[in-house]
Amino acid sequence: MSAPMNTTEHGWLGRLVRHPLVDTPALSFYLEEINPLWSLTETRARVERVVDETHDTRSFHLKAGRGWNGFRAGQHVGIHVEIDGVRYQRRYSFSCAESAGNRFRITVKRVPGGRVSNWLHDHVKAGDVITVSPASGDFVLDQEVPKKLLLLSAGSGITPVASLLHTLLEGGYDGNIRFVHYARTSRDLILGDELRELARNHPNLEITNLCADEGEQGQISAGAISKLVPDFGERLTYLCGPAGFMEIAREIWQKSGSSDHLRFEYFGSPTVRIENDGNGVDATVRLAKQQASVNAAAGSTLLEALEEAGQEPKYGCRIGICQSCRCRKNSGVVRNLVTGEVSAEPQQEIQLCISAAESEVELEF
Amino acid sequence: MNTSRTLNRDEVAALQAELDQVRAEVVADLGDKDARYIRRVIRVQRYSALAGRIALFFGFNPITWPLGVFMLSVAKILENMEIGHNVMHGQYDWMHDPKLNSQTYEWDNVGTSDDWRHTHNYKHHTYTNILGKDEDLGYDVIRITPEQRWTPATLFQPLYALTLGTLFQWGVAIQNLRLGRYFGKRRKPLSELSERGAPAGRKMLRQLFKDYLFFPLLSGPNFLGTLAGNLVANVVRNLWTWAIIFCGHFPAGARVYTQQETANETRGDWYLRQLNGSANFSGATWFHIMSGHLSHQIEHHMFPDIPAHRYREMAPKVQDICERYGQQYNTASFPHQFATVWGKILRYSLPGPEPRLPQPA
Repeated sequence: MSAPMNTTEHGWLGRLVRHPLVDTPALSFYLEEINPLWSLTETRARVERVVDETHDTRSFHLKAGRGWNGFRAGQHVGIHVEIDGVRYQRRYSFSCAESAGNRFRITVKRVPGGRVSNWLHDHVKAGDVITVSPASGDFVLDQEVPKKLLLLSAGSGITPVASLLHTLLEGGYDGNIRFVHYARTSRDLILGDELRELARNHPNLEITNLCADEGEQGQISAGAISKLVPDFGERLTYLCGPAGFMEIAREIWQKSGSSDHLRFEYFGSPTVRIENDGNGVDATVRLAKQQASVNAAAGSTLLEALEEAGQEPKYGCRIGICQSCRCRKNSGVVRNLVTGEVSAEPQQEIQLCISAAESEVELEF
Repeated sequence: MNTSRTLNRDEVAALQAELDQVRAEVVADLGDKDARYIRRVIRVQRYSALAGRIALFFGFNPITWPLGVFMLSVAKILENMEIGHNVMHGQYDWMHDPKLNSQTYEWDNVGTSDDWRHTHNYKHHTYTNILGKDEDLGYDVIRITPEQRWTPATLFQPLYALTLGTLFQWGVAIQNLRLGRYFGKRRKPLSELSERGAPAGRKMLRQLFKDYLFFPLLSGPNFLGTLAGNLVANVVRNLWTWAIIFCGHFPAGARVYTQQETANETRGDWYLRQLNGSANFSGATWFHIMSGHLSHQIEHHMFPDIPAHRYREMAPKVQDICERYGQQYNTASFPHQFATVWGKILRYSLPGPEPRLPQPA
């Protein structure tokens, strides 16, 4: 387990620079001028190396600056990039052992049309500094790891699984590990060489790569799994991949009555549905802080919907001028009723009084 | 006198569409250059502040002291006007950069940002120039239009105006505390003030600590030089912002509104009120920047959440629309506008004339 990396953050110096009498943003500005990794207002990371993994996948080796608190294998990190003045955030899994601490690696596949993944591929190079947010995620190793494991992944879902694997082997895990990975073609095997190397050095690890272009065996099915790993139901299994793949896998485990042996994480960009018939949609609005959900009727503003449900959001003019009702939208799609602009990005600021939900929305207010 | 003609409903709707279009064009074009612009201003402001603070460490020296005061004044003016005021309007919220977030930004002013967001962004920008609703219409101490009540105390309002100018940031700081409620026969208990005013009190202490204790102490033997320099810089910033802001809605030609006539406004009506209640002034680019682009008060009031440096390119389009709809576009040199403001302050310190607007029964 990695210890918190930055002790000054919690020490007297960390408290001092955040004292109400200290102008923290100003102090941070001057520190950032000396070294951008010393920011007091956000955590930064320097890109140390960029490595091509496959024709459409790259690894970014990063070194985090002050404020970074380490991570656990299988978790993901928020990566912030600014594209034409606008900041976007995506979360990417670590693909390295957790002992890496403040030097870590993420492995990013180009998503067709994906704003951030393509930007990372096209613009980020060694020496650049990017902003990161803390590691999070529950797809981590169990407290007690049993003697037989199955790692099952597909596509770029291999990254958190590789992180689990590296961490286990580095920690001297001596149980038996079966690793089954599905890829589109042999050209799409992310981290292939690195994992083969691991298997050579660790006789307790056996890896099987299956490619969709090699026919039937390249598709996941109950029959194929039981043939490959006859005792799969007895193995603690870590599963990660695209949604369709996960559905099938979960069903297989369910039918064999081994669901409690399955740990999993959905992967890939969330599908966003905009039903644009001009009238809006009835939507559920989740309130992250209150841990509550309310319903927003089609066409009503989020402010009205929240008030209807007995919430008391801050507001002022109610016509989109004063910004008093601005709040953070964690996820979901909203439409600005004055300008028609659509906000579909996660982690954006919206005005409640002139926004209507176009999908399920999560707010932070 | 305001020279705008009255528009019929169709014209108001058409004007609204045209102004929405001016806004939409800029919104579609927002990007890197706006991000670079505001960060460059912040950089200039930070280095100006640093240089000013360092220069003042050398005490009452005939070269470094005035230079230090000048650079610190520039930094404080830039921070309050082009950065703080504009960021808090949400002009850079589209960037989603937490440092430029309208709701969390805290400015270099004894007033809290939260109080400012309420009195300025909400009250003043929503109810601009509506009698009885827009407190910025004379700030309760200056009679700026004949519709406001005259009392013998009004005779001294030129003095109040100058005092307000010198202490402007303190005026901003206490506006939302509504101190009037704690005086007179039906006063509220002071305990309520100490509760409501706690954040304001903390902010004042923080500002006083910074300018009148921390940096003077850092200067060691030159304690007094730094203290005096900081005091002068604060007053320079106060007078500057006061003069700029008084030229926003008080020059000749800017009109006021009653609550009745604004009861059922469309966005078009709202645009018209912002237009006819505001005044621009001309000047060099540096002057626009140091005014926080409040030199384009008209554009600012129509589009408060558009990055202010864009008002310069929006102004000719707005002016063209005004011409076609027979609307006054009040602009003149700064000295001219400021002189007409003083003309009003002096004239209305005396009783009369008859109000032009119908008085509520």
